[in-house]
Amino acid sequence: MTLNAPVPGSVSKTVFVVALLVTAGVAVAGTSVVFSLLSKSPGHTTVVDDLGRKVDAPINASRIVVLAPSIMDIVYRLGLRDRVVGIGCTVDEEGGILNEYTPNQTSEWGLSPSICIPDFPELDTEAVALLEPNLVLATTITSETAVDDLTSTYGIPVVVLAPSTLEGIVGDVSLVAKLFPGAATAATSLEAVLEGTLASAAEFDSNLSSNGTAIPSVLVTYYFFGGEYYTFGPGTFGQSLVDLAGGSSISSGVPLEYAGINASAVLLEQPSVILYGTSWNDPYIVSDETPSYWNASAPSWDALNGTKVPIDVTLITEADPTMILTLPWLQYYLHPTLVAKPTGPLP
Amino acid sequence: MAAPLDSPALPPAALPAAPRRRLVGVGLLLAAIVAAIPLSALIGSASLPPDAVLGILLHQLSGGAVGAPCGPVASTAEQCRVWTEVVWGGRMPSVLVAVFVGAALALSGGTLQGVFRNPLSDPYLLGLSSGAALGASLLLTFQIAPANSATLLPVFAFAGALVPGFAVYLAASGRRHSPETLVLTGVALSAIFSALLATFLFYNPAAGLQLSFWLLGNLQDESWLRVGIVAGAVVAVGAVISLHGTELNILQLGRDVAESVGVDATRTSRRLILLSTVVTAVAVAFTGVIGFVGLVSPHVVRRFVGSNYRWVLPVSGMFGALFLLVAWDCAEVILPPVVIPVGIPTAFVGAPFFLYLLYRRRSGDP
Amino acid sequence: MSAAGDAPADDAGSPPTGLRFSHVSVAYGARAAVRDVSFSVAPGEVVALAGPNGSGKSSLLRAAVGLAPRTAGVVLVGSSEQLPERPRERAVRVAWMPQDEPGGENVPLEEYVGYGRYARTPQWSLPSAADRAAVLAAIEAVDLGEFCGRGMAELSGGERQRARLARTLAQEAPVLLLDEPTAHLDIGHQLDVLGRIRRYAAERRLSVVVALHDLNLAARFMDRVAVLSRGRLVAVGRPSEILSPALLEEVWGVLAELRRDARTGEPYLLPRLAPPVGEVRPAGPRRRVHVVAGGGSGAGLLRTLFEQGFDLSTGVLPLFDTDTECARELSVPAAIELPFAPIGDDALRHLDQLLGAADAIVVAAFPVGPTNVANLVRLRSWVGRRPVALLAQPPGARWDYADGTATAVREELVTLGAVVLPDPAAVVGWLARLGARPPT
Repeated sequence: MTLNAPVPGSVSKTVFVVALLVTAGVAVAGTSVVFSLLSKSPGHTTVVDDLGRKVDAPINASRIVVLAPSIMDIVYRLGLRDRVVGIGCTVDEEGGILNEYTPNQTSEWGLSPSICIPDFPELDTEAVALLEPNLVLATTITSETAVDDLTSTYGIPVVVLAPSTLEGIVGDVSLVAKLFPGAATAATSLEAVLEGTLASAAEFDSNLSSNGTAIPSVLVTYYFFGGEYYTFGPGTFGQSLVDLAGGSSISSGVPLEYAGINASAVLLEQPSVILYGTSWNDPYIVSDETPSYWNASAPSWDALNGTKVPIDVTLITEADPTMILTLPWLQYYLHPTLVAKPTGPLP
Repeated sequence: MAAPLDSPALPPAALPAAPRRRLVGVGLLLAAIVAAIPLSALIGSASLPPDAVLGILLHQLSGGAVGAPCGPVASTAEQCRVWTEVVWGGRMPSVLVAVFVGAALALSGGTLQGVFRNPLSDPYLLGLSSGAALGASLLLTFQIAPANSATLLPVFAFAGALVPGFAVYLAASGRRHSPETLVLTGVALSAIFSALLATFLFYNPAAGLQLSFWLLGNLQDESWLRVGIVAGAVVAVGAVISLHGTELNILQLGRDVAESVGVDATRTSRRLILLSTVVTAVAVAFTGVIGFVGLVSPHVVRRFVGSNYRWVLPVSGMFGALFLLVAWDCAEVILPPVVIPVGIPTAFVGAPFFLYLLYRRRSGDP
Repeated sequence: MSAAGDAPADDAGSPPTGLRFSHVSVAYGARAAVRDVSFSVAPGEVVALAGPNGSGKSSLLRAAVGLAPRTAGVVLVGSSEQLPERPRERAVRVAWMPQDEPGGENVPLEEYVGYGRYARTPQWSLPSAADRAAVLAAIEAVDLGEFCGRGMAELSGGERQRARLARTLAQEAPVLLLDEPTAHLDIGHQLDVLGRIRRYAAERRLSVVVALHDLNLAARFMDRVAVLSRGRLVAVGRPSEILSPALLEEVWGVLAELRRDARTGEPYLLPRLAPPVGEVRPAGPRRRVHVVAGGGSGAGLLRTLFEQGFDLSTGVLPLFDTDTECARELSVPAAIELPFAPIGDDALRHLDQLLGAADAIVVAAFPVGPTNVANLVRLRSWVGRRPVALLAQPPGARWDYADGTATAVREELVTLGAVVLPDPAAVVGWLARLGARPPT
């Protein structure tokens, strides 16, 4: 056999191999195309979350992980509580209390440490994956790295809710409703209530200005330390709430979103209403009447003449439906003569 | 600490002007401070009518002898009460703390520059700032006695600041260590404390928010009690330090010469380190870490009174007081009603001025 | 007094002392710097502490002020009283001037010298009139009076050194320990400062120890010299008694000659030139050059050729001539004649021997008179047998004091083949070309 001349059988062998490779390639490509086409159908839909991410999420997911109390609020109100298999929280030394949820929230939503997924300082993505959820709802508190990890490494769809306005909260409700058509009725009524509240607040506000009623100056603060009242500046929810409730925040001229105002400056302003946030979890609280830290290091606190109103700080910091439902109470606090005290407990 | 320890960073100052001119200059400095104090009371987030402010000051200072504190300007007695609270209860304590803390930092910086023969020394050379921050973070991270945190914070910060200072003090008492060794001890301790601090903040980032004022300085939360403590400490310790001018001069010639003329170099160094540590710890405990004042004040003063420590120490104290007070005023007016951390204007005002001094040509310079 | 010997020297049996080192040893860890040194210094006496680098001089002085680890012995002041530990008390008894100090701040001179008064001024008080007087006296004592009011940075190195001394003097201590006080000083000020120290010590009955390098200065100004070698005291006593070439060689490893200062009668040592260090001695025969000279004209030539490694001989030279001294220093064999005497037969025979042994002859530009013209004349018979070079006489200078005979003989030598060269360097070149290469 000469080596120079090609073996007669090798030609056909080459052709066969090439044909096989081409067919395989076509098959793979075709399958993936088919798959991607198929993925839209039963069980999946594509949504755009608040960060603009296109997420391919399952419909009516049976196992959801909720990573923030504000999302839990929506999930609960839409009747989806029993689908929640995991929540982001930290169990403290006593083994019982969930740091990010207030006792009210814990009891109302029936939460227990057993469904806690460690999320401090970083979300434990492995623990999430072990629960085998088919959907994760997160806020921007969860880091990008963790979100990326969940989607790329574990292939779990993550929808990020990050409203920046009160209307945005309503938008989040409908976003969640899109993923859970089963809860459509609950969603519709919730949205109606929320929009109604917002609308009536806006109307109340414009009535005030047309009536020429005095708008009370308001200090909304959630902490005092180092001679400063920590407050909400322009562009924050706290500010919007005060505006919508018919008040004028003295922090509206502050150049930063989250800044402190000097105690003397507040004293000079003498706001009519001081809304100060209380928190069951605040380490400096002794009683939730008047936090001790106000007394201990704010001698000017006593010199403030306005009405001092304590309010659960989660109501003004967690961007969820409950925040919107707090509006009537805020209106009452700011205009006790004009507004009747809302019935029922504080949300 | 890159500069070799025996070479001056600046060319030796020419002999100062005649003693009489020096005294006049110092007198002017003192007058400037005295004038700046009531003027600073006029500065704040809202501008109050100057005569009302001055009226309030006079009224309080004279114990009520001078009547009608707010003059005809205040609309109600209520408003006057508020103004008095603001000016006398809020602004004045901050102003006075600024004066005394500035003096403390400048005195301490000048002393350590002399003890270590290193022109780059500042009051935090021995790790005091990291120690104080660590002490404060201990309180905040582990939520010790949360009800009294505002009162306890200075205590923890003071104790924290003392730890590295004391460690270096002990090192200085042992076998005869060179200044380089002591400085490096302080540097190493500072690094350890910074790492510990980072660990604590990692464990509880919420404490980081509260701690942020430590790293940049905060003069807002002052009271007359604090003024009393700071003033007492600074005046007492400052006086003792200033009496060591001659010893510091002699120490510049090295341990050998010092011992030969009768200066116990070890004991003197130790004593001065201890005094500097205490006065800096008191300052940091109440205001957080304010940089640049302690480093720059002695150098500025040397340009004008020469390098004789008998003059440099007390005049540095005065300059530091004025410097920090001016920086505090700037911090209040740059972004009202928010008060920016006072460490920012000290750097922005101090650094260019210092550069100017370093590089300006003086007659006779090549 | 013991000279260089095995046992450590001391001077037991001296009168009551201002300062006494008694069996002092200093060691830095394992390294012993001073071993069992004992000597004493009487009030009004100045003792030089001499020794090579590393012999322990500084360590000994530092041990006296407690700044070096003393492992044995005591240092006593006054009447057998140990020096106090605390610097303040010690500075009143002993004033020590260290060898070096870093530059300090630019303070006025009086203030700097005033540092010396630190130990005498009570802790928190201002200097008194007595302090100021002492400062001024000290400044005058070192001749810096004109610098009063000036800053230390304006002083030169030498002036600074004197200021340091003034500071030490201002301490008014009965004992002075000065470590190299003459460093950085020019020769004039060295002599001046040492003289002042001497007078100062005598006036105020101070006991002074001065660590010095320059033995000759020590000998000239000090009452006694203590010599340290590798930490041991090898000799202590009056300079005339202990200074010797043997001591210099043993302790410093230097060859020297002892001379007497004609005025003071004090000895001084003149180090001899050693052959070039590191020259390789060749195996073959060395080249030998005979130099005819006199009146100092040959010294430069002798030295040059010596440094180039030639073997030399010279003559006939008169005794006590400078060239004779030079030859002696270099250990060069020379034919000698009595001064002012004409060259005799013995000298001529010696000259012939030397010329015969030489490979080349060089004649320096020496002044010729009737007594030494025979040197030139003798060369007439050698000019054919050996290469001869004549160094050119400086133009215009008179050198022939022999009524023209010298000139004539010179010209004759040139006719007979002697070459004329301008300078010693040219001589070296000529010798090289001859094949009388210096051994390399």
